[in-house]
Amino acid sequence: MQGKILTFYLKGELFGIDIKLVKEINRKINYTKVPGAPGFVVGLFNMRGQVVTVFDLVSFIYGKQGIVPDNPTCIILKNHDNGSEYMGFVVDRPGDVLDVEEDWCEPMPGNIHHIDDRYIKEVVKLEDQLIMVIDADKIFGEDVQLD
Amino acid sequence: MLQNEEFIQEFVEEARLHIEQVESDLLVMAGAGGDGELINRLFRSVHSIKGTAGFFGLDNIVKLAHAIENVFGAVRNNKIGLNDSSIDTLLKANDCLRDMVDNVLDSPNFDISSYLDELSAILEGQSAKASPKSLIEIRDNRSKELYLDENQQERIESALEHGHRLYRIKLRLHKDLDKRGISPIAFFSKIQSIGQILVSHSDVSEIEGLDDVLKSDIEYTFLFTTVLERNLVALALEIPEDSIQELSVEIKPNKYKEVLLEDKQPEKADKERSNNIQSNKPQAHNRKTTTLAIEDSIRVPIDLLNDIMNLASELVLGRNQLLRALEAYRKKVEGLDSILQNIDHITTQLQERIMQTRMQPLVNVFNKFPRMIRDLSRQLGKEMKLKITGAQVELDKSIIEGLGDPLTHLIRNAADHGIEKPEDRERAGKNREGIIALGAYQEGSHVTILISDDGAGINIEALKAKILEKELRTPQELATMDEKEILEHIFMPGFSTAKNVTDVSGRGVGMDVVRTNIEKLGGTIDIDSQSGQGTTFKLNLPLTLAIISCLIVEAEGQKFALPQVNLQEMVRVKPGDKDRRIENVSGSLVLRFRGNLLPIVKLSDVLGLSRSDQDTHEFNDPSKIIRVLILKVGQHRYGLIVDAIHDDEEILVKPLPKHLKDCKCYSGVTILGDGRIAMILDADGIADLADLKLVDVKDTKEQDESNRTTSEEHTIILFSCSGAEVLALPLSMVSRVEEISPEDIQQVGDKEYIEFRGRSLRLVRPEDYIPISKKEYTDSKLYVIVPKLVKHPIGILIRKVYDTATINIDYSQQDIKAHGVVGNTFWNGKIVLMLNLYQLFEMAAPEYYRTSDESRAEAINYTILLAEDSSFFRRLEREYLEEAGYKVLEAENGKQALNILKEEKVDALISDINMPVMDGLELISNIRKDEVLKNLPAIAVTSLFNDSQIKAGLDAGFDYYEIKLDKEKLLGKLDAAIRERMSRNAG
Repeated sequence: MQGKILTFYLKGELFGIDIKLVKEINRKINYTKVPGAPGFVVGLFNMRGQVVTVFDLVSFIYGKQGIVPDNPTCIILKNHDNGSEYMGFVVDRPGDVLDVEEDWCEPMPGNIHHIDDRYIKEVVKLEDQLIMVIDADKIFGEDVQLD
Repeated sequence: MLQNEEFIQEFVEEARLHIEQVESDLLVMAGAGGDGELINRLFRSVHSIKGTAGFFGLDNIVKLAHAIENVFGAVRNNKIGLNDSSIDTLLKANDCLRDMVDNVLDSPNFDISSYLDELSAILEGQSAKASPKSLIEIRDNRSKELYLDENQQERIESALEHGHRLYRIKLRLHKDLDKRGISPIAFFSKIQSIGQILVSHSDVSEIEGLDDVLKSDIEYTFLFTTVLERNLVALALEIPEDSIQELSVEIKPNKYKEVLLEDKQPEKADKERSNNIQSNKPQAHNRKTTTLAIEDSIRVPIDLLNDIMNLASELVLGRNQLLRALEAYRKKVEGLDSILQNIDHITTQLQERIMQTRMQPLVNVFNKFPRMIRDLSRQLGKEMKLKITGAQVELDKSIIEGLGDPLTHLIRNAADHGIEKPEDRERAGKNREGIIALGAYQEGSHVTILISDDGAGINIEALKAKILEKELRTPQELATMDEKEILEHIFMPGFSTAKNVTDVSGRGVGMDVVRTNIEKLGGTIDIDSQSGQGTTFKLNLPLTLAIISCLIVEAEGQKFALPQVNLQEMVRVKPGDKDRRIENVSGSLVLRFRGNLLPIVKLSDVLGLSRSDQDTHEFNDPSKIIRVLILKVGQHRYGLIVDAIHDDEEILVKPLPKHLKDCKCYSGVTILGDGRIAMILDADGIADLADLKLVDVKDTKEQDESNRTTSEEHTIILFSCSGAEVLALPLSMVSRVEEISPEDIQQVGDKEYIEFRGRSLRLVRPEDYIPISKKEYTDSKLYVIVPKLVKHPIGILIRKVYDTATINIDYSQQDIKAHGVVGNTFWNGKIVLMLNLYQLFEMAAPEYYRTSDESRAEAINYTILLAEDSSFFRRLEREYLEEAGYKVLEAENGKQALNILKEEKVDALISDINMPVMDGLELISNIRKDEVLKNLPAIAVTSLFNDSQIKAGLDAGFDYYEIKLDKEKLLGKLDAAIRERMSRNAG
């Protein structure tokens, strides 16, 4: 892709998301767990009167539930199509906003086994590190399902 | 082109309203016959549809609307009358119009020829009557001919006779309107405000496919008459003058008339007009001036409203935090107090107003029923009429939407099962025509909807037979039930009393579904039926759905909201209590309660927060008291164990996020007062999830309770003290209201008095004792409420009396808790606090109103049964009995009291005399006859007090007879009665 990405850390690894999808970053959120909810839902939190469903990306990318602290940092996505519902996801910590050029990107290499490449759109090669850009449509799209 | 889509959407919305209006007007016409106003409105509605549709080249809609309009035009001119069959035709055509409007892009594919034929057949009669067939030919200067039919010809003639001018206007939607920011609808209503469109024509030759309807900018031509001159027309319509062409009209006085249209020269126009004015002066005043009704409202997307509502509730939250944070500085910072009060006040009002925006009138659901009844009359061969009242009553949008199905079902039932065949009705001495009445009215924060028919009523014997046949009850059980209890059975699943399952209401949907649907909306349904006289269903619904009253409960440290509607009662289970025991029956927990086994679940288990072994040992820990919430889901009951119970809270319901839709145990999400999100529990879903085998509660006593409403009607007096809060007292407690001037008040020490009937009357200001706002005021007139039924009268000093009102008060909702306040209700959208007179006086004048401490020590061991049908008095009496140290059990009538006496250990009875089902006198005579109970100390209390009643009460077996609100005397007599009976027993 060409444009800006917001980077963030999950389990010590660097990921990124197209900044056009991001509404805001909330630190130290106070969330409510929802007993009986799907495993990838961390809980709900109150963003100025709006209910935000908070996702656990680790469930998707690493295939097992992540450990979420009591007051995590959460990246909230814009809601473009369906009005009043907001979604967000927990990160270990947010990183920087980077300009990315088209020719820095390539598909996920096949030799990374601990990560589910279905949810990674592409990899951005920087000089010293790789950024895995998540595929937000697959994760937050209409029919989110984990097997 | 997006713009067109928006315009078309606006047209569709507008047209739907017109179509609804046409349908209901047609039905009125079918019933009562139409007056001039009605037919005018019909004409205008269809005309508007036709006119606006023309802008989009929606040819089929224009054609059909035009044909309908012609019929109305003919009726308006008294050319034809409408009979039943022609109204049917019009209704069908209107339906087709609705279908086309609903599928507006597909409308060119509709086949409307049959409707057009039928409509012109209606007009046939007119042509036959009409004078020699005439034809109008309109030619413009390019000799392009337009043929007008007879109606239009007449309209042109009559318009010209009335001094109108004829214009031809050519417009393009985008070029001429959109660019100027005018919507077609607005444009059309402007035209209608200054004149009348006669013929319209859209040049649809440019439209090739369906998509073109959305894209093209077609030319729309119409002939238009108005009294205005050309430049004024341009000004009024905000269109370029060159798009308007004035036409000259020549009416040839021969057998067939020819109207020749030509570009008219200005001077000719003047001449023509002066002629017209001369010739038509006498008729000029006949013309009704059409005033443009400007609709003072705007359309707001519901999403936006919901956002505003969210923000308002956030604002309330913010206000609360602000008030808390600044509480300590209120006195220290000058002026802060009044600023905070102001913000407080405005925020509350803002929230109330926003809630009001969601309110819609019931007419939105009611208006489909006249048509339904009309159709059903045909189908069933019955004569029926629907009477609607209170259609203007407003309810929250979501409730209005949820009412459609249940109401349809109830009205179909009334038509199908309720109303008899005309011959049967005649035989029964009734009018051939059956009447179904649908009415609504608002009471406090609830709306009541009544659906009644004057039909055959429900045959109780047939119902009994059915109950026995289905083995729902034993004959013995049935024998003990009154009619109402038996009627309740029709709400049980799979119950239908009609002998024949008919096409109309036998759709496999029973009254149980109706009840479930109503309960989902937070409402209740009641039935009343008199054999031979008819049946009435009474629905009681909350005004708004979005805010509900919930109990906040806790499981494993997490808070959940439990809707009050589902909560029947709370039970404390003490270990070792024989009557209330948690047991393990083949692996499931049950509560033994009032002789029933109730399935129970732990909330934390159901939600998977913990896993307690299904053993009962944790419930046998002697130090632990278990609280069980008895929940009701339709006919079912079960118990829910939670870790802790917090306050009641009025919460704003938000929908469940889509990723949680599969969590059946929640019905929604809310944000609590502390800003955290809490899940709203779904009683039905929890029962499902826990796989509870719910059995229908068969016990009649439980039935009683399920029907119990905690609300009751009171006539109250509404007033306010120095602050803005509205306070209330039951009128039955008020002796009189005196107007006084501030100078009449005399200060003695720190107390205030006035002279009242030659005695000094102590005054209290409620704001000094209960937590309501307090303001300085210098009114020249004040009022004093003098209460009755108290031993030491104290006047309540108030500033303003609003009104008296009969309001349903729900004492189960203790949203506002304060000493001196017994409950709250709503009146004109405002919160009303019901004063607890007794507590108020106790705070104000402890010297008169205080329980002596000695009696408290003794009282602690006694359990008092309070039989009282009014929950207001029950609550007052309960409070002072509990304050005095007694344990209190409650019953709503003599029958319930007797049942409780048989099961529980009771030391004394306090009973009202007038109660439903079994009154106090019957209760006491039953008690005195009973071997075990005969020595029970019993005191009668009443708000009526006369000697013959006292004698009747004492004769029946009461020990004492007291008035309800004299706390000190009542406690004294209670103590005396207990002592006397005990010494008698001992001796």
